[in-house]
Amino acid sequence: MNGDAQAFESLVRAHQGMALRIAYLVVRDHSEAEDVTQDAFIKAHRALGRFRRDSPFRPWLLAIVRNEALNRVRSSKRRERLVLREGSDPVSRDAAPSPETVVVSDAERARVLDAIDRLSERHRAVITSRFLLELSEEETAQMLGIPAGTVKSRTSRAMDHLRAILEETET
Amino acid sequence: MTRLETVLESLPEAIAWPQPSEHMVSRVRAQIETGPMARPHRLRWALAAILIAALVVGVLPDTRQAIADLFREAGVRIGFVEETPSIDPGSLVLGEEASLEEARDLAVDFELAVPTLLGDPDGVFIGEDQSVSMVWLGEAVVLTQLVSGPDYAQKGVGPRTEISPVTVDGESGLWMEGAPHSFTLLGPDGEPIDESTRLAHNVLLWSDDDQVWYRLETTEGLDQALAIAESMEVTE
Repeated sequence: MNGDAQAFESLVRAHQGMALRIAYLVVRDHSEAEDVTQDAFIKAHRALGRFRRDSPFRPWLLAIVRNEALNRVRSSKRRERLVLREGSDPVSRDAAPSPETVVVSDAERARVLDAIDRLSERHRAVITSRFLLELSEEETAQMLGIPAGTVKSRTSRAMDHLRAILEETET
Repeated sequence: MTRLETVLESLPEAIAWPQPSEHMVSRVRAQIETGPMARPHRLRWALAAILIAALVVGVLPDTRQAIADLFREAGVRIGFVEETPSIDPGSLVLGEEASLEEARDLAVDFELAVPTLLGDPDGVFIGEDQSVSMVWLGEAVVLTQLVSGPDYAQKGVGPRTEISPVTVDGESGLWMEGAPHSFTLLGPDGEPIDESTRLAHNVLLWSDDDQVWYRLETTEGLDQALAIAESMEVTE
């Protein structure tokens, strides 16, 4: 194996976790997310010549993954729900949590995830980047190709919308 | 912290994410090692812009400054010329030719939009500044999209150019009319392709709130330019 392929292999190893998460957030299917991530890595390898050496690699790569995923789902209107891990509900693990423990139930999480899915594409992109992927404001800006200031203001507007959706759906 | 923030912060741990694997690493390696896919022969087309200027009329100094300031942030430098410049074609290279799909994949800074009014372009180019330019030969339209950057374009506005602020899909823009400049497609050897010279008199410049800048060159008038601009959609 040549040095180039070897170097790229370590990049795949380092970034595939986050790449898979981004792909999954868009395509909502594990094996589809794996296909998207694999194709995105191949495209990134081919596009390395276009990568600006003075800019960080990760957001550049993640943008390619996101575009690849978006291209796959554009034709289908329906969006599957994100799946929660089994047993992530603290109530099922600990029947009597201490009063200090902040308990969030899976039902509550599912409700917020549904509300996120009802946001516009651009609002969903900042909320999922900041909270679900835990990217910094700067990395979010670089991945989405918007200024950091826009990430801040858009996140704030998206949070307002999210609250409004949750209030609307409150039963 | 609000309840909503608490729930949001609990989500990364709770979602059943796909897991990284060595399988992925070896699949990518296998594809890379089989070598790059054969790429179709590419013409390196280029766009040469020639500005023609004559007398200064109709643009007051304050207005000039305001317009220049408005667009400086986008990396578009607008200079007002008072005399006919020596003609320097200053070849503005559009970039490497690509398919629409490649442009979508590689234009990583924004979502590429195509004006549905014009349909698929005759040529698509990816610039070194990550801009994407589309060319429609029949309609003599060149549309460039990019996220604002420092080295976008230098635009000389000749004295016969009329500049007016316009609204494009709710966003502010600028319409520059009556600035004839030609563009010529150059072949791989750098020679002009016969009969490829077109005149573009007018330019519509605008941005959306994602800071993506659009520059539409056309021989048509404002109404048609706006119709093209407002028909833009992110498509498959």
